[in-house]
Amino acid sequence: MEDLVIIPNNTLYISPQVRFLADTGVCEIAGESFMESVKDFYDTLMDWLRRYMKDIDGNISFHIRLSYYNSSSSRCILDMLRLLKGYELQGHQVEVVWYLDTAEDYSIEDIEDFSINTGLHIHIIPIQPAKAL
Amino acid sequence: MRGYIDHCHLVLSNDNQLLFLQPVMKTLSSVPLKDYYVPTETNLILFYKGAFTEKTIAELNLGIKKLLGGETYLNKRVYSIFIELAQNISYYSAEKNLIHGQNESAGVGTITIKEYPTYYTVFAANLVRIVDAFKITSKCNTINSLSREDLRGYKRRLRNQPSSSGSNGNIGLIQVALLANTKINYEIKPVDSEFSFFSIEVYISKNLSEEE
Repeated sequence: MEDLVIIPNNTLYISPQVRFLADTGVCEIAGESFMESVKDFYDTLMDWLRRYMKDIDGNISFHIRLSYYNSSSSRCILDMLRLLKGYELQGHQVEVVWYLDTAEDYSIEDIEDFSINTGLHIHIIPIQPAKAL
Repeated sequence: MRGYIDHCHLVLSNDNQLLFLQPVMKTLSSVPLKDYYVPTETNLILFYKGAFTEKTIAELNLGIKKLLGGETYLNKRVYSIFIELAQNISYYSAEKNLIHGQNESAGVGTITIKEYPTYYTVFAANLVRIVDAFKITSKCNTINSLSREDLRGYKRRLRNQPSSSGSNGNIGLIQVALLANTKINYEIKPVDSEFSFFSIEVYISKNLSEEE
């Protein structure tokens, strides 16, 4: 099974970078997410995850470094987290880590809301606020 | 209500503020032009009127970030609210522009961001069909009636509905209210027998401890 690597080739930073590794089950999504074709983008990620779950049947370590996601993206992120929870319930080891600036009360609440909706435990790892552009 | 647009023009004013302006394809005679087209305030960060395409929103966002200076939590709240309101216009404005060279259209509206000593405001306005105005009013009233905890519960409930259910549980305005952490001001003005003019203004306090 091939890795899923998405590196957006534009300078507008509207869709995230993705690196999902089939060998290790380490999956990382980073950047900003407010593109128009949000459903198509996350469907690709969900399809890869489903294939990994079926063909590789291994552990998943899921790392989220999204500095911004809009409300449409957050629906898709919820779907993805729900998929991961389902996999965990089948007895697989699933770890979800979310990196963020802990001064962001709003983001912390939003991650709590993802946890409440999915039942998934999400580790929050604080990062330094990004430098000025 | 259709026209063709190209990319937006970028204008730097003499006090180094960035403005993006675009030719108005069609103007409503009943809406006074100067009310929402001519930037007159000195504390203006952004004024934009035109079609909100994906590329326009992304470019405006980069310009706003540059002007606000840095990825602080306050700045993030301002540009996050901008993106949600801009995408609302893009999807739901009753006035559309065809995008040049593509078989697609993008909603037309206006967004203004202003800075005051203790807060920012983000103002957004667009045409809506009268039949949709009621739904928007009802959503805004619901949002304003809820405590922060209840608003989060409302967001969780809507977000948890399957996206394929067709119920269109749009949570954009809820996110806006949660980010601003204040009530949202909105207004609906009748334009003619088919359209109303919907405007929304959100305050973002610079001092987190002064909120609520």
